[in-house]
Amino acid sequence: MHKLTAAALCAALATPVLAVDRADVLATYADIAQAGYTDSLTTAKTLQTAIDAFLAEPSAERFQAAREAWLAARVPYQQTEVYRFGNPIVDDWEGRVNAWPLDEGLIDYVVAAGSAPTEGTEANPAANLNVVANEVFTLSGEEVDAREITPALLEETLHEAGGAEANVATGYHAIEFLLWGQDIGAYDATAGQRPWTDYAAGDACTGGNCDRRGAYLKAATDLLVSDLEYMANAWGQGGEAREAVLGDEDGVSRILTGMGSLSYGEQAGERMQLGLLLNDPEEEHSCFADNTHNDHFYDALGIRNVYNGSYVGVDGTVTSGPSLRDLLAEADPAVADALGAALDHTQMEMTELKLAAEAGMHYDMMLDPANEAGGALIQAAIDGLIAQTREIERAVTALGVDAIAFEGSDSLDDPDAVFQ
Amino acid sequence: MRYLPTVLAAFALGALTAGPLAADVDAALDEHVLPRMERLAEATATLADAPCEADALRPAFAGAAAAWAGVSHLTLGPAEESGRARAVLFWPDERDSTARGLRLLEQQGPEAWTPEAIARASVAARGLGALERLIFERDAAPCALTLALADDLAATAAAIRDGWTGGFADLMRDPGGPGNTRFLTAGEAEAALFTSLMTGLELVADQRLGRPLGSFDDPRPRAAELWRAGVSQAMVVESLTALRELAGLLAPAPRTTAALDAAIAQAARLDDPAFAGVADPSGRFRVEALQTAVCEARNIAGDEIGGALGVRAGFNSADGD
Repeated sequence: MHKLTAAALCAALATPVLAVDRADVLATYADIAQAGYTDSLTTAKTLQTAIDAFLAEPSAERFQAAREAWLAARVPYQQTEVYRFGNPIVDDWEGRVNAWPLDEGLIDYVVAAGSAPTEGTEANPAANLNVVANEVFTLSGEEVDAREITPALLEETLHEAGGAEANVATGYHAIEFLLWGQDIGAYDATAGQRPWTDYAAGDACTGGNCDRRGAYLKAATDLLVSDLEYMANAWGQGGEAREAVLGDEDGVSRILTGMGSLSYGEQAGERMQLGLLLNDPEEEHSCFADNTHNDHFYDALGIRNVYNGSYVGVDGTVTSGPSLRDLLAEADPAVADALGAALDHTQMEMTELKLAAEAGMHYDMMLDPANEAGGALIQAAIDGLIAQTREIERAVTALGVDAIAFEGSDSLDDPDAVFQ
Repeated sequence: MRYLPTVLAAFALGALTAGPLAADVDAALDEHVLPRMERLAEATATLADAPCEADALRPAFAGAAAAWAGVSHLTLGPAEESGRARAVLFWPDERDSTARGLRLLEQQGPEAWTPEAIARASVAARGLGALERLIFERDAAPCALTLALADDLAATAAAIRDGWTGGFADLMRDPGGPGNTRFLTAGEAEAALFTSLMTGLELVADQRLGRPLGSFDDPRPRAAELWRAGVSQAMVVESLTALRELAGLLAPAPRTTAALDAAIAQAARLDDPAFAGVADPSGRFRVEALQTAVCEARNIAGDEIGGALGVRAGFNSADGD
């Protein structure tokens, strides 16, 4: 420190290097998280209201309203996925709300015409447990009393039962299965075809055990709302997740880690390339509702949001502030522009995929090995994600130098290092 | 393992090293990557040329599996393109996609066993995983399918090799050259090789050893890589040997190579070809000890080689879940 003369200090203050404060960038990042999880909570409560209304008086119209509320709830939630890999608090929690893929036979009836296991498998002996149809059953050698279906039963006993990750008893995709049912036709334009009468009273009930199915749907939805409540609060003022980011000297690296890991290993790899390589509709993220194109689109948008420091909420409210892009532009404007362009390019590819899906070519149809044009749409989006990962790595390099310059006492002892 | 591992560590790196070394990318390519890719192409061609008898196919299969273990850490470029690495071996296979894919191919019958049709089939129905089932569980029947899959595997391996020799290696040798958007600086090429090293060590610890280990209460011997062929242990030895070779070429790394030499010796002594031993306490202890040794070698490599080169590992394909 002793070498840092007044002149050097003034020079440092005068240079634009310090114009963007890293703390402000982290605050924007936390603000967008808070807005995104709060929107996720609000839309999940709307879903809860719709499901309560449906279960109180089941009808085709109310069933459809519940499905629409589920689709709307996915819009903000998927945009928060970029927070997962950079924040342990989110990653530890995420499995409860968005776990996938699932052996849906754990929850309810499945038929052999679908691609879900209809009997226990070596990896998952409980793959055909069917909790809706069974009040008492044996799980991992222990007898379970499931006469009452409660959030606690789902969360503590059934979720990831027997250590099998495919035992997804809670979260969006469990609810999705209960609202849509199995997607039977591989590579065709139909989503799951569960009839609303699966929840009807008395003789009108189809699929058996309608009251228990309703209790399951209710419990899973209530659990989703309480889980989202926890995460929205964690990002609020003084919340655990926000404080962890703001108090982290390497907070910026969390943003980059989240962006890179979601882009590459998770989205490009696990969720998209794998499905294409296996031609397997079970590899669709939202296979029951045929909503996978939106999952991918909003995941990519979430990455772009945190980079540009701007999020458009479900009610139109814009949350924005000093961004990672601003910070990077000071370190290396060319890298900042290249990353911005790469994210824009991916978003355009995702838009093309979404448009084709909305115009009738569902995501599972794109996975059909005979559908070369559909496969090319998915591949172009994957290629965009891989290309943007390379730019994110370049951003890490560009900012790494800078971060050290700001933090390392060595560099303060050697003011020249700051300007290298 | 999933969050913050590489990037965080990376921010601290540069401060430690005044003048980073430059890795010898040419040496890594000429003495490690290219010869090992050639070996994979040759070993898979040998398998494809073997007569359709289990006795002839089994040793050839083991040779191909070993050759793959020696390059499976090189997930970048030609192996990533078109999902070729997964078409060589789709593993881990948590939902038994191999059985489903193979069943579908069989149902479609011999007319679907053309090179074009197999190249379009599910990757789980192709490559070493599908061939293992046919060769070790069904005496290589139906023969036409076994041969078609072996030909397809050899073609995939040749395509990976050709990708390296026909352009990708040159991109690494000439970072920032005209039209080279893949590697803009020498540091990016070095970081890519360093990422391969680190990814490979994680693959051994978390997957090749971690999958069969499962948990103490729930060991999963049948989750071991190619356990039907009994080559799981040999693949760990091959992989560690290749990673030790790469480590030595990237930077003077006496601590890393010593740690890897010890791990290789430990792996070779296991005498548990398919990791069936993970189900009993003493066998399990030995595999766990090896896993610990590999994790330690990884940490040493990150410190010693990453520090010497002043590069950081990039994102890897196992970052998802």
